[in-house]
Amino acid sequence: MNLPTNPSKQPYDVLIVGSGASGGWAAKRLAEAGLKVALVEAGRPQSSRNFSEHTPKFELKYRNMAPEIMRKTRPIQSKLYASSEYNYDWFCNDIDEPYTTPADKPYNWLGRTRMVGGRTNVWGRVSLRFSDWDLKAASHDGHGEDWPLSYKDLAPYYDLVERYIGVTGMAEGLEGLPDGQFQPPMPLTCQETIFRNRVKQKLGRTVTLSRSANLTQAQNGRSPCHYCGPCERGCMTHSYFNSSFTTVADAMHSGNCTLVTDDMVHKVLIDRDRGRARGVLYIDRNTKQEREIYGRVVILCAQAQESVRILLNSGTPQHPGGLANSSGVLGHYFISHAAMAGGAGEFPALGSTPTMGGPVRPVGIYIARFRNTKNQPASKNFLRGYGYEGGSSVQFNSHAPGYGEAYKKALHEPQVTLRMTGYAEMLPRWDNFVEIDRTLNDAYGIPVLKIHMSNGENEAAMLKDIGESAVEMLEAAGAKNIRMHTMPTVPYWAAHEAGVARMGNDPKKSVLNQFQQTHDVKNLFVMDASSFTSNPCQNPTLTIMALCVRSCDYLMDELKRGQV
Amino acid sequence: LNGTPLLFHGDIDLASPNWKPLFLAPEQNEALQSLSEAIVPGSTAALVNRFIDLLLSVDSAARQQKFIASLSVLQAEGDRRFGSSFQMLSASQRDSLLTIVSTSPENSAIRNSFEDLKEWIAGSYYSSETGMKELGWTPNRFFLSFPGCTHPEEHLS
Repeated sequence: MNLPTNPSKQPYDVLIVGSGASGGWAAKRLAEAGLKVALVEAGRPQSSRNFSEHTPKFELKYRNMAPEIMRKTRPIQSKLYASSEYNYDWFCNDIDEPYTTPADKPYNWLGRTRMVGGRTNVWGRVSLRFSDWDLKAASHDGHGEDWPLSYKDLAPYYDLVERYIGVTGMAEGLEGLPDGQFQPPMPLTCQETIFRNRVKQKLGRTVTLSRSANLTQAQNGRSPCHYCGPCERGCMTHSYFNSSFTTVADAMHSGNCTLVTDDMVHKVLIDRDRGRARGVLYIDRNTKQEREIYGRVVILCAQAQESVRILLNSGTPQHPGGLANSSGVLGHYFISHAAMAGGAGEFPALGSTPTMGGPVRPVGIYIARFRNTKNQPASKNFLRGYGYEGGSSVQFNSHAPGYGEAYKKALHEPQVTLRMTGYAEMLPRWDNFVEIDRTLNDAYGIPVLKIHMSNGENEAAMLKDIGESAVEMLEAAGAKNIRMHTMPTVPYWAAHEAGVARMGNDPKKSVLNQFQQTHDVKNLFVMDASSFTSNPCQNPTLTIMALCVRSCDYLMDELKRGQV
Repeated sequence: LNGTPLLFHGDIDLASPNWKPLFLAPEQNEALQSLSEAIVPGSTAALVNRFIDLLLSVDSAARQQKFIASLSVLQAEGDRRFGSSFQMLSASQRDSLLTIVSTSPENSAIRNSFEDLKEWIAGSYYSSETGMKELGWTPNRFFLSFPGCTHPEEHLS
């Protein structure tokens, strides 16, 4: 599966950089349509041999209990929950691939996977649609820019992507969180049902199953979820969506895709006379030799900061500020989701008992945005809004007192906790940005990024409200021993980065048009979340994929018309 | 494999008859072994002291020092009350000592030391094959369904 092949010296129709959520879809869409595609991935080939979702802790040397082992090579990547002793070698070596920040603005760049499939190997799988309330938010509240497209432009592509990846979910009829093409929902627990019902009755807010890319019905040779639990360690039955065994595998199956692995793209090569991209320069990670590969069209899908790093490193005498940067906004308006605020409370066990031998649902609950929504009065304290991810679980009583046999017995007393964590939309700000740090190269000789990221007053006000609203909902549901967390001691953002090559209709204020095509170079596209004009509180990956497929269809139309 | 017992990577060195601690001094290891068995019965057979020694051998200096300090506090308390180190105490003396330290006021030095060591011991025991099986783990990781709420109407009030 996904075996790398030798790249041709001849130009491909399309070069795609990165094989994650967007790169996988671009490869599938274009290769299945008959275009000759090369898919260049910085990481290693992925296969079921690397999956360890059924491996018990006691088969690991350190049972995932020795954090210093991971910190030696992944001091930053090990901070992501999905990175563990099982799979930490799927992530970049932070020593080899550093980045810098100002001393007073610490930023953890998490989820930098180096495997075919990219971040979809370890993603949280939450798959939510954006609405026009999100895409046209600037028109509603005056901050930032509207997206250069509407929900009706994206809706058919959401349908297409959801049907293929398989999303378990419940239709709720919410205008701000449009329903999709759902597979049957995984069930809620009794405690989650209590929470859902009471929060709706008392506060009018919607608690639903988190819409998640996990199958509950077989399709395309993939089996329904078997509830083993840790999707982030792989899935031998291919039940969650991971580009490596879905879109990339389909692209390879078409016979039109060449997969090139272990290669770090340094820059886009430009034909100076014609002002067109002609390929990319990359570094073989094993030999550290420079190589070139050529294409009539180049699509960057390398992850938001990585794609922009490539563009900034592709400067020429004609483009000293980086490629596709005539607007000067490339690298600016860096956005993610402000996170780590939320709450937790305890519920009655209602007959449930803890066990290490039972099924684990890979999906939590989602609390839809209820601040600054269409029919609500505007908040006095902040613009935009947030949603929560969460869920209830039955745990052993890890705080059982005493020792000996009495302690071992008390350990089995069930503890049912419902937790929730908010994800807040950040406002795009010019002074959150990435740039090239000319003082430092990575182990492959590629200049690294310097990342400037901070929360503003709006994010701080939202984090406070997230904690307080969590308590309000837990109280409404009758939870006991309620805890609130509002502000992390160190700012924390979800690995939902976006905005650094934003789309717009005005080439003076944006890098890309609505089809993720650079305003400056007609045959150069950026199809990852760097294209987002804003970052609604919904998780980004479903929209990354829908936008990518839409842009690929545009690209194919333009190629037919000879316009690219 | 024809029924040959699997030797797991993490247990190969720990189960060796020639095993020697990587981090702990021999008398610290003996004390830890006795303490582990008393706090979580079954720990000796599950090689809990040996696994903790392995973890400590790769841990940060701060956490290593904290562990040794906690062990020293309990050793000193045993010595003060019974004039002997933990591994030399009789069963009833161990029981008396653990009753005292486990019910000492919260956040007292002696209680904190007990809770610290208990966390290491319980974490190591319940991540061993024996411990995980005690908590219900089986090699079967395939489940046809997730047992959700089947009576949502009962939760309406």
